[in-house]
Amino acid sequence: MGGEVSVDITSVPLGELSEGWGRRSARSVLRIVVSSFGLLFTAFLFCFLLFSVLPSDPARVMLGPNASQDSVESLREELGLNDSLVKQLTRQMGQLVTLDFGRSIRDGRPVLPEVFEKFGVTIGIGIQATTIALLVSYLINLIVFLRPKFGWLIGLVGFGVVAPAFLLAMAGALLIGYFFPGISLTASAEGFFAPLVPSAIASLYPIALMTRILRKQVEECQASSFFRAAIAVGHSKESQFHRFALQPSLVPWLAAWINQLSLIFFATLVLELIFSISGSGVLLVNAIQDRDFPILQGVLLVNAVFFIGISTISEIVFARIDPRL
Amino acid sequence: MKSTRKQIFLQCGLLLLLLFVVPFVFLSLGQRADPIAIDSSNRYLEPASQAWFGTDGLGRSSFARTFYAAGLSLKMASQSLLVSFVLALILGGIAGLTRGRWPDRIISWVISVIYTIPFVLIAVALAAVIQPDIGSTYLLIGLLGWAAPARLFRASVMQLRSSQHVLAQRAYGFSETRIFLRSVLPLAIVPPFLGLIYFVPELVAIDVGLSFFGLGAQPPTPTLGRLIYDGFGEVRLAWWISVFPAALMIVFFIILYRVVDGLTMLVGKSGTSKH
Repeated sequence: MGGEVSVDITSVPLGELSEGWGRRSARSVLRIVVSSFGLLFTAFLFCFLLFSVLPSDPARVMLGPNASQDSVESLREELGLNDSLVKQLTRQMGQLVTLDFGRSIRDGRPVLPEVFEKFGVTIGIGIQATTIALLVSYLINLIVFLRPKFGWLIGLVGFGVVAPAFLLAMAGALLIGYFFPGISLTASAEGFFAPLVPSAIASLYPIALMTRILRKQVEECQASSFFRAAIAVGHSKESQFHRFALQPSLVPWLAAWINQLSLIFFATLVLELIFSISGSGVLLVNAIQDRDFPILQGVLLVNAVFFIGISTISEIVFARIDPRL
Repeated sequence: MKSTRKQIFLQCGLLLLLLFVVPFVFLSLGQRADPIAIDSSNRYLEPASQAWFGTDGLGRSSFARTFYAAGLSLKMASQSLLVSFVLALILGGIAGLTRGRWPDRIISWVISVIYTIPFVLIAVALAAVIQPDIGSTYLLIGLLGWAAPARLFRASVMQLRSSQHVLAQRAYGFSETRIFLRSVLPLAIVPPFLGLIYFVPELVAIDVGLSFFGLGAQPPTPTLGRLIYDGFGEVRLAWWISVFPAALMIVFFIILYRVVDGLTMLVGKSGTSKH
């Protein structure tokens, strides 16, 4: 995000510039990938420390305070908690490489398929919500740019941040139940587009934020000299917006999109619980109630892999959009 | 110019008042009547002159509960916000000033790590293992929530330090400290603060989410999120239990954002008129 990057492009022959860019981008892609694996390892280490180093004894916590010392000991043996930390760490890493996340303590089912299925539902809602926000913030900015008298739209969507998602969700559910009693909100967990109502509610907050961010960027572009030049050259209003306001704003706007995905994650969990959608919200609640630490660890790790993957891809794409990065 | 500065101070004062004084006013308002005293002869009273906001299913005064809960929730959210903001300023500032060198690398690395897992999930996992009370949970969220604003602050510090007006001041011979305090800090402080403050409603509501996990405030202590959430369960029977706290929350946030928006505009104006 350098403010004033002054590369004198005119002094470099065009061919050399593009060749250098290709080599540099290959190296930076490699660096980003390597650092992602570093991050992944850190996330794994965090999970490991959380469940093995903290003063609480997982076996004791899982079995509850009334369990006998013998059964705690045997569970410790079964989970391998009596081995040295290094041995535990290497064993868990070995399991991780072979994609073995262990089995659920509650019902003995393997963790990974369970987590994948439920996590998919949650992240589906998240992606839908943030994509709705992306589209709506684009449309509102386009409308306000073309017809400035619609400026109040920006203020209107700003109301999305005055109430937390659960309140909007409950009020929404109540209103829908009152005006459209035929629509069933709870049974809509099947299919990718089924949870559109929760997604729409979850999107209100990102809509408010992303509309503001894009608006601010567009206003900055409008104040710049290249924008005046574009008007002078005679570009149409639409082309002014898309080429000279939207394009320079792509990176902050898309970065906000990626950030929102992680930020609304918790709101999504709560919405799932309110609308009784069987996603990772329910999975987490059960895992915490039953002290099912393998599931908890699985959710944390799958999450980490997903978000690290997203941020890696976005960094590579952003470097394509804006070579200065 | 001078009037702009005066207005900025005024708005800042208003903001601090809203964040750090109003919660305590709410708390003391709520404590005028006992928010947890059960009175079974006055169950589900409608709002009237004796009970302004009515009473709930256990005959507890909704007025006292609403204000007590709002005070408690906002107090915890403000504390968490303050912790995040201070951490973001210190760590993001260090990273921005030591651009590319090892302190920056370490801090940026930690930020990326926090980013890999949604921080509420970390809080839930930690809370499940160490089982803290609600106050400590908010502190925990504050201790994790600095990553996003710190990243913003670092970026704006770096951007401002390479800008024309800072270059001009260096040429003029001003010390780096003076440049940082007078020309970089006031402009760079706004984006991270905005990012944080727009998160306050969710911060207040985190309590509802945590209570699904058995980790929120324990009854009978009322918190704003729980009050609204539980009230919605009996909204057909007694609308006032949930509507008053929800209205109070929305009005508070509308006023808060009015002040914040005004402040942003003022700082933006003074920022552009200076150079």
